[in-house]
Amino acid sequence: MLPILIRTIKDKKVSLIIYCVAAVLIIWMYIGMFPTIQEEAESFNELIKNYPESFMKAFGMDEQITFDKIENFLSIEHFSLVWPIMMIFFMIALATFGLATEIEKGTAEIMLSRPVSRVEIFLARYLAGIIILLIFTLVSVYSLIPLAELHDIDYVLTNYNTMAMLGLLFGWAVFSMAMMFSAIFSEKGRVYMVGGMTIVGMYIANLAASLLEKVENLKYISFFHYYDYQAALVENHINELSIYVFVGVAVVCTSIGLIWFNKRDIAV
Amino acid sequence: MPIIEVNNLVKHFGQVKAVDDISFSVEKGEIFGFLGPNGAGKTTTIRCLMDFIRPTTGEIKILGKDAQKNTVKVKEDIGYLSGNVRLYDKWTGQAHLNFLRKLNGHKEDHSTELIKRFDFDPSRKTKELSSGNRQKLGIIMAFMFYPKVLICDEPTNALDPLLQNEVYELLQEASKREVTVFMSSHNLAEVEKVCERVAVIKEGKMAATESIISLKQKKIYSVHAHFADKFDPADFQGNGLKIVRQLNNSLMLKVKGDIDQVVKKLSQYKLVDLEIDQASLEDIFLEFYE
Repeated sequence: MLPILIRTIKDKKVSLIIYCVAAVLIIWMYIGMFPTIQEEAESFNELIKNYPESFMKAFGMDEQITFDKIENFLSIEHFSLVWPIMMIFFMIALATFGLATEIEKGTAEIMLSRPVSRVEIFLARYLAGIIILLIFTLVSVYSLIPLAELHDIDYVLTNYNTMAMLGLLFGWAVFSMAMMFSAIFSEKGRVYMVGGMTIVGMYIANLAASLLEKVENLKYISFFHYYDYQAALVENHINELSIYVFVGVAVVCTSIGLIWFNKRDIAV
Repeated sequence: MPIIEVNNLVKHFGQVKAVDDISFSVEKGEIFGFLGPNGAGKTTTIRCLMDFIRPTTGEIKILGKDAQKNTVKVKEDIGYLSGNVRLYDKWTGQAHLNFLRKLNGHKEDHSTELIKRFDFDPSRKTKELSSGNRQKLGIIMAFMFYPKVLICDEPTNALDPLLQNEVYELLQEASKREVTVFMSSHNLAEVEKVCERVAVIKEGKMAATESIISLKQKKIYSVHAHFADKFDPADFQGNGLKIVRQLNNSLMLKVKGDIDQVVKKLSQYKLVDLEIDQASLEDIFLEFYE
């Protein structure tokens, strides 16, 4: 199992570096902008107060939020949409590479013709993905610390610990779901399509739930409801239900993916 | 004890019966050919043997072990070669060999010797390799761990005649070391050259399992007779005789079995010319598909 795990990390190291560098550069951009934003915080707060309520809800903006702290600023500008989009793209691509790409290209035969079980192949690819997820999350969240020090900006370290934990849980659930699709489908295009559509569906469900009272309960089927970045980064808090949902989804999807991959025909 | 034993193997893909109740066994050190045209079920059978796909019903034993339940143990002793070798484009040949070495638990291998024998450059990325060189790497990967069983799916695809002969030599050398070889092919000349026994698969069903010698001994003749005068075609019908072409004073016949009856009937006529050819393995093979 270890050779497959190590080889997978080696194969994905360029992607990992690109995603990490991109995440750091984006954070750096926000950090660079923040002193100006902070100076103009009052005008921004006034501007935000004048936004329509539905707009605020659609973008998950709290009326009480102010731009006087870097945590508030990053939660709205970075961790609301940019960071989860990066995470979703990266995790779906990683999971697709893990199994479906191998099946589609026929390279799965290389491993399957050697004395390695399918369970080992699945777990090696899965654990490699989790290690990459961990590295990306840590780099993309904690890169703020040296950058904030560099620009002499105050920050609350514990809030970033909580944000990193929430990010890990969110990424783990997305990755596990994508691995399940990757184990089920034999074409990478299908994994991208079904995985992408599921996430877009969840986003729309959460958006609709925040705008229309009639469909308020739809939010419970969306990862974006449980991914409460403001609570994590601003209030240093993760809802217990979010932990249960993300862990539950990850465990269930991983189990289904593993069982399916172990039973399915490969190279048909 | 047979090294490969397949009993009542059935594999359906939805409504399609890719393999329909086939059984055969391969003995130790034997080179067993699995013959059939494209779509006959050869690759499906091989993929079942390798546990890439799971049989709908039936049993496969390799080296006395269930090929599905004991797949990891069984594959310690199997070398697998596909005619269409799939490789990781961004890896070098050496990276492939190193990866396999690690997957096989750093078992002793003779990849260096094979690299020299095939004049293969392992330092190049596989996306830069020609199809022949990719196949060379596939051959090295299949043979490098001294397998007890070799399973080859049309192994000489994409190889030039020189390399094809090199593969035949490798297979024969392996057989001398008591390695059991199971190879599929749609190339009769190849099977005739290399294999000792052959199974013929037709539309997912086993048409026959024969030794190459007995297959050749299935006498089929092609008879071309030119008569001096008119003849009665009714004399040359039935009982293993089939008129292929009939002109005014000439007749082309296919004869299955005893040639004596035809010679006796022909002797009743005055002949201008007579040609009798023994059928090639190809003709015999085609008989199974009629």
